[in-house]
Amino acid sequence: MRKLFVVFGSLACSTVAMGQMGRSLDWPSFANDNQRTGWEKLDPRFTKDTVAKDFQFLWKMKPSGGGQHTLMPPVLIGTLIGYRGFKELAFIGDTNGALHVMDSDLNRLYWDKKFDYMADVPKAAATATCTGGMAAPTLLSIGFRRPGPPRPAAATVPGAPPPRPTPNLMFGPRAIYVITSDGRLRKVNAADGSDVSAPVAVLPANAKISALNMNDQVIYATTNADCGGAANAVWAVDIGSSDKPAVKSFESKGGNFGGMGGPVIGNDGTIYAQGGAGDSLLALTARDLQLKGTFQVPGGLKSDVTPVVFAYKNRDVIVTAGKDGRLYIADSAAMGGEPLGMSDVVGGSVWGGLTSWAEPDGTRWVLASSWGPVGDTKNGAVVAFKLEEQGGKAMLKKTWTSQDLIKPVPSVTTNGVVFALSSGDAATRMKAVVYALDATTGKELWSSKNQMTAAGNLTGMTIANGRLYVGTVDSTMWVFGVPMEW
Amino acid sequence: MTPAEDRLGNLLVATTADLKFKDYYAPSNILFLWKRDLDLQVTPAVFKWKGNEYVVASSKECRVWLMDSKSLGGADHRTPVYRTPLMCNEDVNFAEAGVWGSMATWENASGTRYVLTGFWGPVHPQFKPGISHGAVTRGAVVAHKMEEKNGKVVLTPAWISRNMDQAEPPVIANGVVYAYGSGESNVQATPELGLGANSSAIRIKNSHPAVIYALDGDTGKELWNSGDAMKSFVHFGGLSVNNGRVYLGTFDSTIYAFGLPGR
Repeated sequence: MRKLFVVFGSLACSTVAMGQMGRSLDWPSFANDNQRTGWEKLDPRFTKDTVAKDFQFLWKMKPSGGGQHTLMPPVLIGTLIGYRGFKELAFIGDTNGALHVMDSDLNRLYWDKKFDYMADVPKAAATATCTGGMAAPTLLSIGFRRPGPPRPAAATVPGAPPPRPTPNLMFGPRAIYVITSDGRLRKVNAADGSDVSAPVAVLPANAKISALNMNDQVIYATTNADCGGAANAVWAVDIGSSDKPAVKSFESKGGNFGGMGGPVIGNDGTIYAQGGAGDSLLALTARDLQLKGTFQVPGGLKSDVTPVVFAYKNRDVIVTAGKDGRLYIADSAAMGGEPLGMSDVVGGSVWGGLTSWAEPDGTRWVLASSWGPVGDTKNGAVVAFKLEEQGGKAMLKKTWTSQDLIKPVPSVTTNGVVFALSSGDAATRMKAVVYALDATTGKELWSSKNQMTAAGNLTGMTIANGRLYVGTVDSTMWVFGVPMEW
Repeated sequence: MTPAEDRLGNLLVATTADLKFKDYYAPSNILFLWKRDLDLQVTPAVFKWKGNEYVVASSKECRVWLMDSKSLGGADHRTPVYRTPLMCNEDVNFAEAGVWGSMATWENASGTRYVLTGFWGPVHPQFKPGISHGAVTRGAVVAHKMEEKNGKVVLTPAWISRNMDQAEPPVIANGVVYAYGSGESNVQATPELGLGANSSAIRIKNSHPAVIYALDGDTGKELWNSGDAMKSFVHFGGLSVNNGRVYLGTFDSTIYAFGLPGR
């Protein structure tokens, strides 16, 4: 018996060794975190030198079965210790209601699954806006559950059996959350795709659902474009309260919450959603979605941009895009007040979402992806702003502008490198190109040149563990990165 | 991120007799091995062949590295004399597949040097030695021969044994290879329980009695097996062979001895 425990100990030791080399990281949702920064803070595998010298095409995948289905940027589990070994898994949803899971190291399909449509109302026919019940980036929304805090110890009852040991959630089964076009929340075992619990209706069928966000056992999403007759709204699905999730919503009474990232969650749990009837930035309470505050600027805010949140001077600030072409800084402690600061005019039209990262000395950057002429560029660009103070007031100072990019999606960034995507244009057969840029200067470090053979599908990018993932309109997921011999 | 002399855990290390650091070998794909928990937890074997001393080692990855003892991995510590293809573990599993324990080696009367490895799990579909003895789904013993081809020393697959339930390190006596399937359940994770499946109670319940096999050392052909004589599994035990008897201890604290009566 003793030696059995020796074996178990050897696994733990190897886990320590992995930590020394750099633990494989998760990318649990759109833009990586609740604040939608698009920033991977800890990945040592991306450096300016390794990206410039070693970045290359690694693999691509196209789901079998034919058809043109938009692939969404994957969420990643960096290390799943599963029944088939240690795996880095990429979970790729598509607009056909399927989930494809790839072993990222080996370019092997690990499992895939097509979800049955279960709603009583018929599945809606695809339209340009509501493609098969949902728009391309949102048909299959994926969230990821991080291990929660330890449970409090149960009260001791005289004569009661000793309590069962609390399972270590890092070592237990891990779940992926998906909301499918029938409005069902699916909790899926990441190891094999099996249902952990029965699908449960939480949102209207055929709605256009944004990327999911998740905090403290509550899943958040928005519904948009009146698809499926669903109200345009922010939704909160409480999965911790009981077997049947409690669902709350906050209706927009008009416009969309149309940014790519869906609801944003502040560091204090506040929910932020941009758009609605007044094209404003709304602050909502966690879980029950009560209105806490509204941020507005003359001319209104862009409803197709997901704001970004970060800590600044001991509270959260929210950076978002106005219709007047500027970025604005909202103070979470005084949503109804004046902006804390603003940017120069970005140029073009900011689209999709924003990106933010900070240098080790705390210097904060915000990146905007803008469509249309920006400075000398013809089609669009990524524009980088540095957060500075002038006369005691915050300002976003335009610092660099990328080369010309066609329909750039929100950038992702790590370790001093920004990845920008020129999506191209399917209508004019312009193909997608990924660029790696020096995050402080915008200088090009690497590009995919002509390797991708179709336009980008405007769903965003994922980076983790030395790899970048981007989908194109021909239902192909492309993976570039620093190669690792296996 | 790369192996260095200040980070030698989970590599093969050589020391002087007074345990001063001397040399190391890090497989060229060591980052992958570390990432996937494919430990180098196999005791190497050392032997002389045609005037040189060689070291053979393996890992859960399930290939054999042949090294010159004078310079384990060459100038870059990453280049062995020869590296075999994968013998098993196509699924890259950390628990119930790969090579565990130790290597073995022997030389027959005509001077053919064999390197032996037991492994767990199914044989790799691309690994096809010249001699095999049926489908391998739970483990087997593999014999490689030392050979020179085109001026280079290589390990050539000679034979693969019959299926064994988690094949453990073999021992050799007088041209006969003794090996055993431990019967142990080495499943450490399941979809339902994750690593919660790695409990003594579950693993003991799912284990089966061990079986010893005697194999022809040159062909791997089965000569004898212990059938259902043993009543428990083996957890990291080991065979002893001496004076016509083979000894093995099982998990239920029993030592079994098999041999030729009256000799």
